[in-house]
Amino acid sequence: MDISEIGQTYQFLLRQRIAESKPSGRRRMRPGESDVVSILRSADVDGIDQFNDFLRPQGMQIREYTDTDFGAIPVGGKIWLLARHPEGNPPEYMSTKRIYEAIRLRDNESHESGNIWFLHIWLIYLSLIYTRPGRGVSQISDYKDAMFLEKQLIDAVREHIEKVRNIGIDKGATRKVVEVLDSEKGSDVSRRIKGFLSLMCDSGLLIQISDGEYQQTLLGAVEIAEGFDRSMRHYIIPEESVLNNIVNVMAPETEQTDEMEVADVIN
Amino acid sequence: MDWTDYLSTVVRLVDLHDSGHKPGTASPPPSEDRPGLGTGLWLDIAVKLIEYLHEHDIEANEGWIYLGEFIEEMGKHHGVSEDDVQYVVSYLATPSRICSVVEKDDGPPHAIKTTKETALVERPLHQVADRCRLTQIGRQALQMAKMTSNWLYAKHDAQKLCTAILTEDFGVIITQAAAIAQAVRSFSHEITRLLERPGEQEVWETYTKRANDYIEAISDVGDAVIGASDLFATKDVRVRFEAWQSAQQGDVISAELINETLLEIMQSVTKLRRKFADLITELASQKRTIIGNIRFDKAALWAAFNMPSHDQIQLCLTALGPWEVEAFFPSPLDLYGAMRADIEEDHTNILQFDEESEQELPAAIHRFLTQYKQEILDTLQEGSVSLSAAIAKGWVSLDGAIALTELVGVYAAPDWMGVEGQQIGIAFSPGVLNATLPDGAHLRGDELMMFLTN
Repeated sequence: MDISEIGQTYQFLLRQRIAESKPSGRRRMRPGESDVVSILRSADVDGIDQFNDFLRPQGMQIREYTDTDFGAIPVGGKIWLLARHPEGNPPEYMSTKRIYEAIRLRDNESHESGNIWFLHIWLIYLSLIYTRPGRGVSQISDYKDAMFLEKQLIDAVREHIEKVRNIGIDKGATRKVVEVLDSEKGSDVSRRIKGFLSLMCDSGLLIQISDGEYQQTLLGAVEIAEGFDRSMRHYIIPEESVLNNIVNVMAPETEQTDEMEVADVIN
Repeated sequence: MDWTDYLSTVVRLVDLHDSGHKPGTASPPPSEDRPGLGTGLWLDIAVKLIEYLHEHDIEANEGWIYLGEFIEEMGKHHGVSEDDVQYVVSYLATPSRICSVVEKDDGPPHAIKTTKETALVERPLHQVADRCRLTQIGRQALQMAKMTSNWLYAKHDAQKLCTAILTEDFGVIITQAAAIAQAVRSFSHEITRLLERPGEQEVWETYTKRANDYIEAISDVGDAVIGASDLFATKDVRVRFEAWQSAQQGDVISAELINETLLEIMQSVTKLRRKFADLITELASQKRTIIGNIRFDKAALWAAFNMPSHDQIQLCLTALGPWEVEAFFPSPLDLYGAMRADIEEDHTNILQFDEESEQELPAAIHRFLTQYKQEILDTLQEGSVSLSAAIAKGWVSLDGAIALTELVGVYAAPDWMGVEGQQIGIAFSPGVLNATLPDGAHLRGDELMMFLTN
């Protein structure tokens, strides 16, 4: 890969995050994708290493997968991802500002409110594609099965809000969280989720496979498998023993129980 | 594929498993008849469904396969409705419990082991009935029905490539190669799954015990494919291949296609060898960094009690969340281009650097900075300064003349300000600039912003 080819590939991947030699599902090749695939296909190991040397100081990396890696990759197909390096610092050009625009419904909503909405929708989304099917965070292979309907996410988030509402401030829930989530009315949740899904699709973490039906991408699965321990587990997810003390919140579908009671939440 | 042979090997075992006969009681003779309609209809739909799913498995990349076409086919073939086909799908997708006796050296003599992994097909978890696919058990059933075996026997398939070449059966090379490639992929995927999941003792033991057999099998497949490739490259075979080619009609397989196919398999086998080595290393290390199932639903509830700080959320977002590129580092040339294009578009005064001004530029800039530098820096301490604000503050006049060039020059090259210990950042907002110069000229286009970055 010469400098010009690295530039062309970098520019494409910064925008699209993923290049596929045989796009899966109903997706068609994006403008410029076939050129980038051709460059990456003909690149030797040194070329890819050189590209990674360029990306590494930006906290990014290029990952290459073939049909022997995952069953979901078409026969003879290859996928390249522009993924965050789990040990790198995020690049200066990385912005998460759009999250607030995507989640916000009213002009006077604060960043704090945006944080609360995003975090709760994000965690419930993850519960839908990991917790419910009993999938481990390391199970990248199953990304193709990580499908859900928009309606399922809406229902799950509403159910979660109801639980937070039932717990209430009296039983120890944070005032601000209860106030923000409790303030939802009408189609608020579905509108926020639309924004969330659109944002996730634009970032290459999700793909819309049909009307109202979404699927996790390989990029989404790889990044969470590699970066979970250093970020989410570290800052947001408490110890397993703490989680286990929150009983009967929502049983995975594999468990035979109808108990939905929220009780004995231990701080 | 003869499913009757396959069923014949297990049907009496299943009968005995299901037998309610109690030990020590009188035993009635087993029935020679089987319950059911006796037409074989449901069995036929079931095996056709399994074969249909298998055929579409490769193009679906082990993904979900839509049943519309199959239902239509069954409608024509057997005159059955969609509900009838769905009845078969439901039957095959519903797990059933099998009990077996486990002999243990130190345990009770009749420990019972049960499994429910008997579903041959599965449907998506989000309750969509229009598609399904084979389960691992379903694939195994198919393999057993085909009288083939697992990866350890793949070398026999690979050796068939040489046989095909020697017997001048060149037409089957591609099909045979595709079967080997599929076997390589399947085994590779199996290893990927093993590496991603917490270890199941039995599975790990199997691989540990038979590691050498697997390594040998991989080498054998690789050697067989290399052997086929070498054989195909010999002059004698090439002559016979060309003769075979000329005798064929329609689309004929080319020598290049065969070479490429064999090369691809060799590359896949090399990759598989590396992957298996990873698996063995993992087995030997006994220290795995697998992240299992996380109760994100509970974590969400936890977050209602312990809201993470803004910084903590930001760290997670930048590591795993959605993001986009936001660059705010235009080069001086970008800014100059933006200004010039805007002025040209309005057909008003054009910024020009004639000979005289070029010669005077350093002196003019020097005078400009002498007059305004401190004032600009003081204002920057309070916040950002836009070009419009700078014009409004009068920094565009110098010794009675318009000093737009010098003012824009400061935005284009803020280093001229020579601030120690701090850096000046520049940003622009497209189309926002709308200012009037002291001489009445209008300035429209992209707004420039100057600010201290630390």
